[in-house]
Amino acid sequence: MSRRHLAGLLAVAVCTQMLASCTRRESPTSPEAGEAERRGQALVAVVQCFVDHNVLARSEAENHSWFENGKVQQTAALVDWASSHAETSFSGKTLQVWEDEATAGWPGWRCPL
Amino acid sequence: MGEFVGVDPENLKELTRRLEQLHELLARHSPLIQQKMQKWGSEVAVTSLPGLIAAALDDVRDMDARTTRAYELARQQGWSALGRAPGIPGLIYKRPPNVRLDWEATGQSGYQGKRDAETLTAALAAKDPQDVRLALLGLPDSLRRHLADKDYQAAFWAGAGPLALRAARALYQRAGGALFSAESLSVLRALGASLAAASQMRVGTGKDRRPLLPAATRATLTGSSDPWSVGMLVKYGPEGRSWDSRLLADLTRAMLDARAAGKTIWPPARGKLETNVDALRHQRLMADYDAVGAVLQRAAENGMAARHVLGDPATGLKYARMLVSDSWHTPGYDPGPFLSSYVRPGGALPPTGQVDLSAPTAAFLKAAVSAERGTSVDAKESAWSVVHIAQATADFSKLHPQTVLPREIRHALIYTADRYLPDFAASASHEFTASMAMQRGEDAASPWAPVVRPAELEALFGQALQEPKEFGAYKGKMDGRISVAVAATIKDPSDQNYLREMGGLYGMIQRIQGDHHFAEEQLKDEQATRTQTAISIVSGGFGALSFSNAFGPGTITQILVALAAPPLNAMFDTDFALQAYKSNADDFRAQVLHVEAPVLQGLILAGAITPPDDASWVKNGVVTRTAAMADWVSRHSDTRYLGKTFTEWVKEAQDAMRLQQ
Repeated sequence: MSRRHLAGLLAVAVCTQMLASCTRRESPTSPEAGEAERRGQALVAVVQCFVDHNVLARSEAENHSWFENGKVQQTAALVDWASSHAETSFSGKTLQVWEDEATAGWPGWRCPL
Repeated sequence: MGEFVGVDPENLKELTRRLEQLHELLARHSPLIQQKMQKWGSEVAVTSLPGLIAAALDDVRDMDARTTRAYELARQQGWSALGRAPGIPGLIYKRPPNVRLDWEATGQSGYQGKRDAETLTAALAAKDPQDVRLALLGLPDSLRRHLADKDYQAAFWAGAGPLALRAARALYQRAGGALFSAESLSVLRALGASLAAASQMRVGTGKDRRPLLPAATRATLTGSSDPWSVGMLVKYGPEGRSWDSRLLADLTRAMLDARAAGKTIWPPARGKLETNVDALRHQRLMADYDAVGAVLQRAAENGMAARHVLGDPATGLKYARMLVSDSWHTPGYDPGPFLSSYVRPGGALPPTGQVDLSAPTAAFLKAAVSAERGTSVDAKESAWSVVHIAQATADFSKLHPQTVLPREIRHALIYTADRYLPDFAASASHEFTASMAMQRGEDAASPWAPVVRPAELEALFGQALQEPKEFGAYKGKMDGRISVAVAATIKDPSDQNYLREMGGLYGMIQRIQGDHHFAEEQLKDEQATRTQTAISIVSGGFGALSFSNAFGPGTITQILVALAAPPLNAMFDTDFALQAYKSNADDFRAQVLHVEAPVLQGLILAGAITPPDDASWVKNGVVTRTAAMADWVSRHSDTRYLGKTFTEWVKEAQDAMRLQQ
């Protein structure tokens, strides 16, 4: 039996264990659903970081309803904006990459600029 | 005004009758006359014939109104049809005297409308349904004759509004099999048709243009104390598109409010329910004459009416909560009284005999999200309807965590998720404060889109998808859209990554499925359905997305439409694909679901790859997976297409759909 096969079996065994201990779905507390929560907050921090360091011009941010009194708001309009800028490059990395890094380090992530 | 002429009412009546016959004859034979004339190469101009026939109908109406007025004047002069004559025993018929009539007076047919309203009022005041029916015998004909007559309609509904709405309750039969007799149905149909026609009429021009039915009349329609009777007029009235969408929307709100307030929305019980069979039959009767369902059905047929109701940012959520519910059935009955005292347990029993009524509700929900995508007000209402339906589903699941919605309603949710797949994918990965409909990029030139919170999307999919096959079908639809997602990622003028977003949504659905803990056998079902669905989309043609005007303002709308999967039934029409799947399952699956083919197709669609002229693996722009294609792909795997190598594109698609090979 190859090592890879063994690892696969192990993974299946762990999954089965987890499934067995899991009862009815409680969506907001599951780790994956928490991911959307973290990613939402991380997005705000990332875009705020862009504005604060002029990677995204303040005048550009002010064109959008998600920017109020110098602060990025966690609204539907922000999510829509992020969707259409996923592959846009900011300071050498796409928004998507920024967001992935910030989400991975959340809530400890700090603006590196 | 003012041209008074002397007329003999009796002769006028005869004249009207003959005119009417003449009109009927002409109308009936007009197509044949035109056909023959043309066939024989006649020089006679027959094109104006339909116009003349329509004018003849107007003349009939006018003459009818004058006749009614003439008899009325005769009565005012003391004439009575039956009277006594000296020397003759008993009653005899007396001709009306000559009267002087204002021939040209406007509002003649308005007068007829007023008279008919009075007839209806008098008739409905009768206690005995038999008397009511007799008094109303002539009404349907009169209503039909004046269907397109604004003066008549205005006068009739101003006079009869509140009463006409109660007609059903006055007309129903207290016993027997059918709730309404044939004559009663004829009256209800005519009233329904008349109300629908009146609802669509407008008066005035320019700024002054307004509905023919004044606000006060409309208020009596929606504020009626007898919603069941109103519902029957709508049930027996014409198809939904023959109604004014605003009126149907107002009626829908009124019915839903009445239902929520516990008002009488069911047909009257006829007699005491003495046996279990009686009780069951009454439940059936309630379902057959379901007033709320009738109005929902008409609003669904109308389409815009449903969107007015659920797409209102202020009140749409309230009504969506009423609709997304497990309460769409007849109330059922307490079986206790019908059980033998030996077996009757103590305490109240749960109601039994409920009949499912969720079909019109589901049709209404579907209609509410079915506007054509774009920048129109209708598209805006549709997007708001989606937001409200998702919120209402989340609210329902929060209140009733263990309850699954009725199948019909779940299917309406699946339909919504199909239609707004790219929108849901765009907002599935980030939590935010409040769902809303907005124009993408906050740009007035962009299509309206629902932006729904992930928590609410989870609730929607958590209710919508219950069975392994439903999960399979939905995932298959996403698989089938890979090529479009690739093409869209390139073609969309923004930097949106549709593949990655679909990957996020896919993750959510996979997670929800995981919570169901389906058994091995069920997972096979899921996989088979997924494959079949993807195959039927893919073999139905990748070409669903044609970027005819690729960089024009409509590009995003095109993408949104193309990324939304077609409805399930249309998809499964591709028998050929299923046949092919069954006959050679593994081989075919390997061919179609091999992600390279859809990715290649997407790149061609987007114009990033132009296949060589002699390529045997592409016919009419559609890729077929052959050895030649595989060869071409292997030779171009490191070629960059719009920033990514072919291999990177494939990897991204695999990641998005978890299609590891």
